[in-house]
Amino acid sequence: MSTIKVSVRVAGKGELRKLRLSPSSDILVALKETGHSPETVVVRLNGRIVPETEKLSDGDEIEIIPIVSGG
Amino acid sequence: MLRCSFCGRRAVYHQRTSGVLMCDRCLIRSVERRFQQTISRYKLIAPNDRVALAVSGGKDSTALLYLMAERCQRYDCELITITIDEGIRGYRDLCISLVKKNAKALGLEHVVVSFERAFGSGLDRIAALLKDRGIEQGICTYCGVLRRSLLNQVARELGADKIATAHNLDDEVQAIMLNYIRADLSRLHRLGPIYRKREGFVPRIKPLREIPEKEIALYTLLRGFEVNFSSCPHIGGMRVKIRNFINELEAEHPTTKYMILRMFDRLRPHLSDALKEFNMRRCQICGEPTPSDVCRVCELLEQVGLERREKTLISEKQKELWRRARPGG
Repeated sequence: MSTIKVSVRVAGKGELRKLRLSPSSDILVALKETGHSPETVVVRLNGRIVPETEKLSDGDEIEIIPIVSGG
Repeated sequence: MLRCSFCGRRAVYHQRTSGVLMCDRCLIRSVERRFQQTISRYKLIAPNDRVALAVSGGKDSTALLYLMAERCQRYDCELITITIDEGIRGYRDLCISLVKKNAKALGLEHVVVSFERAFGSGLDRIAALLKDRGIEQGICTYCGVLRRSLLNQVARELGADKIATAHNLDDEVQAIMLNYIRADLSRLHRLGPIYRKREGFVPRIKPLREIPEKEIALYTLLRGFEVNFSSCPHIGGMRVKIRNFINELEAEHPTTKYMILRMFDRLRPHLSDALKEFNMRRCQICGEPTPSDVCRVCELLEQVGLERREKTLISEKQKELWRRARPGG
C-alpha cells in the first residue's frame, strides 16, 4: 500500500477531514498536516488517548482535543 | 501500540522532556507527585492553613481543586473555593455551573463574586466601553487586574492564609517572557511559586507551576473530571503570540519551557536588589492597598467611567454561616 487513509476531527467542531499519508506516518505527521501543535492538543486514536508518536494504520480515526483555553 | 516505560501498560503520553512513555496510572501518579513536591519544596502550605482556591471551571483549576481537596483531607488544611464571575456571556456562566457541581461533590464551600456586583459592569460591557471610547488598553489587562484584586479582597475577608491559583508551567513561562519583553521588573519579581505576604495582600501560591499544561489536561481527562475546555472569547494580545512562539520552540527543542523557568528561578533572588523599596499605602479612592496614591483597579475603572461599588464583598451574615459550617466552627 503506497498510502494510508485516516480521518481527523477536532473535538467540538463537526468538520471531518480525510488525510492520505505515507504508511509509516505517526500522529505528529497528521497534526502537522492539519496545523496543530502537539503542545496544545491531546489526541484520541480510535477513541483512546495515545501519545503523538503512535504509528497510524489505514482507516484510523483521530480526534484532536484542543487544550489551550486561556482566559 | 506504545507501552509505558515504567509498567508496560498501554501508553497515553510521551513525555518528550525525559523521553519516557507513560500509561494513565503512571501519568496520574507523576502529576500528583510533582504537585506534592512543589508544595513541600517551597513550603507553600503550613498545617491548619486556610487556603482560598481560585477556581474558574477550566482544566487547571479543576485539577487543582481535586488535588488540594485530597491533600487537605490528609494534611489538615482548610479549603474555600472562590470563583470570580467576570461577566463573559456563553463562557464563564458555563464554567460556574461546573465549579458548583465539583465543589458540591467535594463538600466544599463555594463563593462567587461578580464584576457586575463589585464594579457595576461585567467584562463584556467593559470591552464595549473601551471600544466606544477608543481606548487601546487591552481587555485582558482589565480582566487580570480586576480579577486579582477581587480575589485578594474576598480571600482577605474570608480570613484566608493563602490564595492558591492554578498557574501551570506554560502560564508561568509565558508570564516570565511577557515581563521580560515589557521590561517590567516589578511584575517579574512577583512571579514564582509563592508571593509572600505584604500588608493587605494574601500570599499567593502556585502548586502546579512545574507541571506542563498538556500533562494537566491529560490528568483531568484521565481522571474523568468535568471541565470546560472552551476558549475565552476575549483572548488575544501579546500573550497569545508569546504562547505560540514558546510552543513552537518547545516542539522543536523539548525542555525549552523548563529551561526558561529554571533560569528565572536562579535570577529571582537577585531581583529584589534591583527594585526600589516602597511602602504600601491605601488607595485614595477605594482604600485597597497600593504603592501609589490610586490603585490600578481605580485607574482602569476611571477610564471607562466605572468605580468600585462596595467596600465589603462578604457580608457578616455570610461569614457567620461560613464559620458555623466549618468543622469545629
